[in-house]
Amino acid sequence: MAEGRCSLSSYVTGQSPNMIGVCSPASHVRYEEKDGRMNSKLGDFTINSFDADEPAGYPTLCKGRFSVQGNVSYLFEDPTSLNAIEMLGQLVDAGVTALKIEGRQRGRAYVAEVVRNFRAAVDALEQGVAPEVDLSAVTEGGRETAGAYDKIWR
Amino acid sequence: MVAKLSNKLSRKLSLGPVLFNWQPEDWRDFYFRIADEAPIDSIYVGEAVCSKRQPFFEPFMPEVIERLTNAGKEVVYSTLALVMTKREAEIMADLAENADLMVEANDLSAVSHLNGKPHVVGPYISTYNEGTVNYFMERGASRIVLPAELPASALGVMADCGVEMEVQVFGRLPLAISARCYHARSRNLHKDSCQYVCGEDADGMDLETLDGDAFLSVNGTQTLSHSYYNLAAELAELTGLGVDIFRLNPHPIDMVAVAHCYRDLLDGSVDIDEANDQLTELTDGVPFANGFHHAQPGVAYTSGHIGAE
Repeated sequence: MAEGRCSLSSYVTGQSPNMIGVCSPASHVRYEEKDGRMNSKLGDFTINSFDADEPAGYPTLCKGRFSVQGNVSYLFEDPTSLNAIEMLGQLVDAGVTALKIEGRQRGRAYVAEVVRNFRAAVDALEQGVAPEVDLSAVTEGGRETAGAYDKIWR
Repeated sequence: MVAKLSNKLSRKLSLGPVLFNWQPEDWRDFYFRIADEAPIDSIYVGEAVCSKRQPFFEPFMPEVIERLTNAGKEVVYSTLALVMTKREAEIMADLAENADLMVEANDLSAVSHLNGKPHVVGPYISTYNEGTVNYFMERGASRIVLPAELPASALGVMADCGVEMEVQVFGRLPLAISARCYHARSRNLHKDSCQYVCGEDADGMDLETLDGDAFLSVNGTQTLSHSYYNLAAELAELTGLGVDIFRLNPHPIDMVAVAHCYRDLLDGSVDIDEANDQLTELTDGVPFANGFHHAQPGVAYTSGHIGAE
């Protein structure tokens, strides 16, 4: 979803990034156990459902599992984290001079870990040495993606 | 507010651009019928969702515009809600700078090309406060279509800014736009080789929750509500707030009849309950929503008349 232009969250909860500064707010989240499964709900809608041995993720609306024409999938976004750290050189060559690390609705430990790694990567790039970075502990579901930087993503 | 509008309201109806990938001939015939039969003042034409659809209906565009213009309609040319490729940027720039018609900008990149001449700022541009309204007015905007997410209190503040204000009152709510095509993704295709599968769903593809609840409607790169927004009961309030134009979004239902419902409401010749009964029949069981207007979750629908005696 194009950021800053999405009202999915307010459609379900009455609160959205543009109106209140939140998406899929925790005040509207519920986890309900039913028939051995853990269902995550946002407002009145089930956003995902997990087996007993599956970690139950946060029901961010566009990262939910839904059904279209009988097929269940993560139609909008897979539960994965954007990580462009391998592309820093290309981004710099393209004229990028600042990097934005998401912090909203994230914990301090998460932000510290991500910022530390990107700081190290930027410094390594400047010094012309190979960066030593590892973000696997903080990526969603342990998975990462180059997202829209790969054309195939679309 | 009273259930029936006692004084005729001098406000206008508009028809937003067709958002779905209809067959080009169906698209043309839809607008021909609107030109001939619908009591709508302003008609928006053009592709707002995906540039890949444009070449198919483009050959019919001149005759559609001519028919609408001859019928006395104001015709506005809508542009893409998300401009992503160099080619899209070029098409948009050319249209913004050279179109004979009024242009509706749906992406900020279009606004820069329209600087200094009258234009419409569309509902896909985030206009959320009077500072933004004033900024667009200074750059030549003559009309602003506000995002559907805004509640009545915000509409009222912005309608006082002195520019023509338009709001959606009927149809599925555009909730999100993405670089990614979910229609293609649902078929394990990529956008570049999408096979135009969005053309199979003239009113969007139903998306359900895992509980089987109808939730959203997928339209290529756009995500819409499953419910139809319906502000029939709120028209008088909107008029009181200073909203000038009421937008209907096209769906593959009898839009001429829908337009008559709203026109009759504005003219005071039908009461809200009658109009809603007619709209219920016309929309074939799709639920209504009006929550955004009342600062509730958008999906909510408060039937009856808020504040009615």
